[in-house]
Amino acid sequence: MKVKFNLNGRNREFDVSENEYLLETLRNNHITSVKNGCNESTCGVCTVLMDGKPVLSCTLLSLRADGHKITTVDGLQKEVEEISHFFGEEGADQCGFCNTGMALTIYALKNEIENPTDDEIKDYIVGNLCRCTGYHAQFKAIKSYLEVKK
Amino acid sequence: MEINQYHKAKSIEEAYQILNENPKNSILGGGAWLKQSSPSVNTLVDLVGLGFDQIIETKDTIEIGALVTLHELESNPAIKALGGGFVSESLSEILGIGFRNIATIGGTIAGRYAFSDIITSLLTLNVKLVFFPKREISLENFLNSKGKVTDILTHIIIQKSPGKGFFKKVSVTALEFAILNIAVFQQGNKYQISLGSRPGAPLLSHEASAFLDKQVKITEDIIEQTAQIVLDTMKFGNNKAASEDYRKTLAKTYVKRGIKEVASK
Repeated sequence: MKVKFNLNGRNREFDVSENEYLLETLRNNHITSVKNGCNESTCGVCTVLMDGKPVLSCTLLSLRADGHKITTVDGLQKEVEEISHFFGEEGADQCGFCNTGMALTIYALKNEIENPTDDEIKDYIVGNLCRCTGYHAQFKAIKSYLEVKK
Repeated sequence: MEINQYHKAKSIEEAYQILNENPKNSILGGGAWLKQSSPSVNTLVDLVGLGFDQIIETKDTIEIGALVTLHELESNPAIKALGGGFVSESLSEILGIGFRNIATIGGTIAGRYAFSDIITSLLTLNVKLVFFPKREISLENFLNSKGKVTDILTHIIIQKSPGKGFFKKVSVTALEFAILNIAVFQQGNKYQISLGSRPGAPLLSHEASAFLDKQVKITEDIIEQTAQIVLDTMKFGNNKAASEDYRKTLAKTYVKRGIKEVASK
């Protein structure tokens, strides 16, 4: 079946099967910044934005992306570089596998909640797992990023 | 789950017709649990674009379209205001935000998921389900019904209430299913207590409500007796997440805590 959506600012059309998830569609079409982690709705590394909201691409049927705007880190390079800068400053990076999904979630958080509390930040990123760090450095990096974006 | 065909319905009438053409046809909610479902589907019928993605607040009700996502529901001001926020809280503990932006309230309820946090909290409220072509049923009666749903859930209607609510999900980690979830709601002299993930589907304890409702004063002793009634009248079981005894211990602790919280607010 055909599915059409706007991917990082460009209107695209893909051939997909009824059983295909957006993660497969993107990675099969060379969008490898979207990572395949648990592939069962838990780890968050496959996060993309659909109409600005974070969604797990391993859990969204590709056909459900039809007509929507899908954004990966490739479409938000300036913003993601900015977030990465704060991660670097706080030493929040290790292997980097979770970074793309986490950066998109943080970007969505900034747009959705004005002046989030510490608990709101933690609740928002609870679905983005990192197996290297203890989240403390990442939390500090997110706070710093949100502070300068006020 | 293997999906043989996908069909985006042009109308609810068409969706209903296709759903009932073959017992292996099914309605697509958010699709969030498709991977975990084993039976194959002949035709998966999508209701997207038919207007079931709105939340409409009236003076007395909150009318929620079946395709409203769990995060949209959780963030809605009218839902946040219900019972002091306990419904919103029960939604916020369902996996991560990337999941809640996909899973829908209609799919959750129609699936009658035993581990559902939101069903447990909604059960304590006056909630009516609207099915196409013409059927209205309370959430409790729907959960007690058996068999494949051959009508289409289109709306969930919550009667607004000025009461106070409590919700607790007990799980090993934040992203795991509840070992037990507990909701208590109080409006005036009326109490409702529901428990889910026992591991069976959420249930109301009518016996505990009847006992509490006739009390003039809620004392420590009354709370203790109420918790015991819940344990005596509700069935708990074992699964790999927790034992029956552990669930009973949790139920006793959090039913008491819930009653104290809503009674003291």
